[in-house]
Amino acid sequence: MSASVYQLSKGEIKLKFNLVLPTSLLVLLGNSFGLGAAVAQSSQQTPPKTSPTDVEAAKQKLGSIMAASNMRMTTQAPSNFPVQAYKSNVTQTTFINSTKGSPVANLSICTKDSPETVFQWYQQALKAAGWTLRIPSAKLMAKLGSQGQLFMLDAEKEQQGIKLMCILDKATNGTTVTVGWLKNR
Amino acid sequence: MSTVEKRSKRGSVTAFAAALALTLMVLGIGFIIICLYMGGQRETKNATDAGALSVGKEVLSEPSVMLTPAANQRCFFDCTNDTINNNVMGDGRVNLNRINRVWSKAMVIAINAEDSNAGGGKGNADSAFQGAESISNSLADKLTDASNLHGFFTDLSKKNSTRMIGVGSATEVKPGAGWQTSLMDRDAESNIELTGTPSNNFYLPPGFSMPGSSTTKCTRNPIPGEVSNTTFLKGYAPLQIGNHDFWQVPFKWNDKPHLVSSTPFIANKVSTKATNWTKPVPNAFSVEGQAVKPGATGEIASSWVLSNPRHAYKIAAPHSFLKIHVDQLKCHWFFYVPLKVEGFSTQNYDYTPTSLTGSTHFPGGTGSTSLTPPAHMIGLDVVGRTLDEIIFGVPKGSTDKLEKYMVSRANQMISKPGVEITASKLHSTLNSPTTIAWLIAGERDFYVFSKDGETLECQPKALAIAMAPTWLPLIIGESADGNETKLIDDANMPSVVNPPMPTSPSPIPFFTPAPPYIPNVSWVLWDKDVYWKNGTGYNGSLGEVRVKRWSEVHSVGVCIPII
Amino acid sequence: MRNRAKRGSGLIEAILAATILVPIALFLLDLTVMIIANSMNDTAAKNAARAAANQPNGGAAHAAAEKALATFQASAIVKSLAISEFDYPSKGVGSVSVVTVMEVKLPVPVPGFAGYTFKAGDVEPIVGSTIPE
Repeated sequence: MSASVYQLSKGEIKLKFNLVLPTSLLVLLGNSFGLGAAVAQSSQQTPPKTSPTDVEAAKQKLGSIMAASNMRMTTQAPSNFPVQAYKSNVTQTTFINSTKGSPVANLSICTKDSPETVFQWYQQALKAAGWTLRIPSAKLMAKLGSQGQLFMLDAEKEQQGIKLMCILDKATNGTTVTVGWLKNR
Repeated sequence: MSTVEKRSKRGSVTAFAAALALTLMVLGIGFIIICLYMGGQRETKNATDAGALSVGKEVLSEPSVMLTPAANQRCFFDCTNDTINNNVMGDGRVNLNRINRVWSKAMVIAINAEDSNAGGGKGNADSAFQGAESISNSLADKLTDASNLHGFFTDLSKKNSTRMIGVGSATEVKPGAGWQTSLMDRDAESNIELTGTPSNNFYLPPGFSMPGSSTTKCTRNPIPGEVSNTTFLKGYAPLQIGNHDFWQVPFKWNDKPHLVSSTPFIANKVSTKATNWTKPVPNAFSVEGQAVKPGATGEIASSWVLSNPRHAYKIAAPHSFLKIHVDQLKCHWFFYVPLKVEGFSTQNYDYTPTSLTGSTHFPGGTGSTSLTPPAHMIGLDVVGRTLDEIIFGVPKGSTDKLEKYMVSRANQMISKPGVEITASKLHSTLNSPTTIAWLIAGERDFYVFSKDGETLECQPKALAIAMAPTWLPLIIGESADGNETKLIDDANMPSVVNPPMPTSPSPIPFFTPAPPYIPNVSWVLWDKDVYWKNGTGYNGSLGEVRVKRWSEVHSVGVCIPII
Repeated sequence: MRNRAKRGSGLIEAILAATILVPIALFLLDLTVMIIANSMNDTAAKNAARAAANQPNGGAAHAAAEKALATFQASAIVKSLAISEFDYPSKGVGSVSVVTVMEVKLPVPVPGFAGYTFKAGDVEPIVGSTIPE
């Protein structure tokens, strides 16, 4: 090990679950989302004709796999999810939640809108819903070298916590939004 | 009247006066002798009282018993000092002041061995009991041998004047039946306090309850405010744990050594009032002194004294530690072909997140020849997390029992009366931000211990040894003597940070991949197992916590027929 | 003449007897006072030493010893009672030694002895301090 000790530098955000994201991580995150988006794009060429029955069977198979892991995945956020789902120019929505044990959920939305637009929308929506927001300073974001590419915040309300990230999808210039929700321990 | 009669009448007053004077002188001398006698009695009693108090005070330190090198006595070395500071080395001697510490540590070991996963700890608890009993019996033998106490008596008795007996006389020991011992204040409190209250089970390990018959509040009347809420172990009352009876000597809280009257002393002698303790350690002593000068009347006096160290301790195993080991983090890749199978590559990761891609799997799923899982950012379950969050954080699992074990062990390390390690304090110790740095730096073993008997530390090995250099290096290599059991079994949850990623399985001929995301999707699960290995503290280890965390990347690749 | 001699001899005998008996009686009175005073002084020294031995430190011990003698009230016979020596070990381990001095004025003055000073000492083990850590 090196002589240096990992330290939280001043202004560095300590996210809800004490996940501290150094610069390299955020860059890699951005890249991984870009990869996913590129894969999605390649499959947007006209697909061959398939039977709806077969598609439905495949979806049910995923459902049974998820149920075995005490999880559920859908393409829509449930109406009772504590955080509103972004609706403008959405190309893909996935919602995954635990069905047993610690209540957790992850809402992921791909949209053509810019990260900044999406982030502003969520800030207003969360504040209006009574969430207490913790947003890293512009100075910190500048330090991370991710201006315009990554926006993130923590939010708290009652016994719930939220970790929100809006990441630029470089392939489409759109945004991948991840809303992680957890009941506090 | 005749001449003779007249002559005898004239001499009668003088003779009477002379007789009276003689009588007065005799009475005076007699009075002086009586005064000297009574004064001598008083002085002898005073000197004997002083000698008795000296015995009552000095007997707390000597006679003492030196621990043998045998393991079942060496384990009590941390009880051979008069301080709560764990870093102060003992001298290897057990005396009346320390005997309750020895018995209480033996109790701690036995209580920990009552766990269903005690394993080899049960044998160690038996050994510890035998060691404590052997030490106690040796001490009892020495305390009941009056010759060990004579010196303390004469140290003070001779310094007190008995000039009424005669110049140069002094009160010395009168050996014999006047030197006895007694077990007074039965069922009163000992000088060992329990931590906490009955409502939190005195922070004892889960599954063990302290019998009410073995504990008591302070029996002084009125109860001093400082100990109004304190529970003590009861003296001369057996505490049965397993197959053994553990004992304590009663010492009323903050009571000074003092003289007592003969009546209660005699009433509590073993010969008068039996006890189940085979060789009880006495707390009261009778003395007999005599002041003699050759040619003068000697005086004998007896006194009775109840001893008390006025030093409270806590039920504890001072030199002990708890080890926390964090297993190597691993990433497992799963595919559904159609049944769930694990991929061939399992990758290690650490506390700095990294993008990982699993190996291509053949086949990839229903209707698919192969599937290369998309890259995911792995390590987000542990990045920036403290040791407390690694153990108790999400995915949480049922952490109650683990927490109770760790809290009970933490309290066993604390020697200072009145200091409680609550669950909150334990979490606070494990939540130290420095643990984040240590984990990132590659440390996997942490040690929880108390360097000073009143505060808790959680440090990696090198730092722990530096903080407690006098004792921790000697025991830090010891393993817990019990069996390991899994307390949290595969607590898991979907990652709240990793978004699901679409997959692109390679189709077999005439098939095409099903829609991305539903069903062709890859997601990340966070998983955790936590193990507890019971430790009695006999060899210093109070237990081991092992945390195993891993990530699972599940990838579904379904291809459907083209129509 | 013989009658006059008879009356005078009785008186002389009485005076002679009184000359012997009265001093003896007065001496016994003085002796009694001295014995009682000595006993009082011994008790005072013991009480002062015992009180001091029950204290945790030297300052408190000295104050306790003084307090133990505070109930003393001077009289025509016992003029004063005070601590003349006080020895308390620095660390509160061991024993405390107290010497008291009592001044007594004899009720029947003796030529050359207007009064007498009694000295008494007592040593007690210190039980007020705790075993040092």
